[in-house]
Amino acid sequence: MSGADPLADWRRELIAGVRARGVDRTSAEEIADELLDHVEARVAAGELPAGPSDGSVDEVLAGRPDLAEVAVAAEELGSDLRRARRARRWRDVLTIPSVLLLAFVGLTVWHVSWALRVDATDRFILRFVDRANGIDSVMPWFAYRGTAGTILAWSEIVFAIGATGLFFFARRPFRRIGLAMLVVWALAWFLAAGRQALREPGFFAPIAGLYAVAVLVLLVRWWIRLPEWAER
Amino acid sequence: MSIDSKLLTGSMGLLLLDVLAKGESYGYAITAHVRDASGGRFEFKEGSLYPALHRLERDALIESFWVERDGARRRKYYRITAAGEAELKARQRSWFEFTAGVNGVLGAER
Repeated sequence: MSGADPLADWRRELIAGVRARGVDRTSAEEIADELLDHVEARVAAGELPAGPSDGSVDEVLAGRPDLAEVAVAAEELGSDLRRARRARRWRDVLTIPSVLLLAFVGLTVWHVSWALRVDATDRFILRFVDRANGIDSVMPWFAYRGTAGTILAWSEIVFAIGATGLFFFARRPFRRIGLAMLVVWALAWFLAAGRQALREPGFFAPIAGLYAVAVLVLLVRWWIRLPEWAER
Repeated sequence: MSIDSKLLTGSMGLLLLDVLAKGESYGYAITAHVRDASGGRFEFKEGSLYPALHRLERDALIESFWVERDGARRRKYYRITAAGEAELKARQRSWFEFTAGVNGVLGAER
């Protein structure tokens, strides 16, 4: 559009709001332009209040910032988008950092507990152990000790950070991949904690419960869809 | 006389395809055409028009393109595709069958 856009503020607000719902910038700009073109066409057709002069739509709107119906419509749309943006921020605060925090706390507790186990009290068996015919079958790749354990622990940290990073990408496919990684990762931790809870429910059942909540929250986040009008 | 909005929503795809089968058009013009052709009975709101258009586009029944205009905001036009024309014929047949059935029951057909 040549010249100053009298609806520039609304357009910016629209684009920001639509993008906050995970739409890429190009698509958000297209949605905003299509809706604003509709508003301008209605003003030009006299369906929305026009200004005192019969000049161009831009002139009318620029000269009449108090145009009631247009302003109300834009404000309603704007407030709706602002609410959605705030809600999304809270969802992010409540999900991603919470899951990350759980992960780091879990890793730390696991490591410390493992170190305490060296005295062979066998109170906290933190390896993945199956006892069959009196023989322990240990899966060392799933125990946080030694070289394998270190690699596993750091891989999980990198995985979680990578997933979170992807989640903050503007493009929705990346965000979906990041969220899927977090779902898988939280699910794995839930299953691991659940298994340990069979042996030490007092200690691991709450942890398994926390991860169950994390999985649930992430899955709910996964299924939250864009409003249809913003879908492309 | 008020018309049940669910009836209009249910037939919106058919109406949009029919309008676009007559020629490419854009959001507001589609709304105005439907309003005029229906004698003011049908009035599409933005909140239902654009989702419906985007759904049809996603289903490849229509396609869109942008037109730059001097001194004015660019405008998005829609046009029907070959698949859309086939779908329109199918929906028209279905609609006529449906209305014939309803009219028959109501005794509107003599």
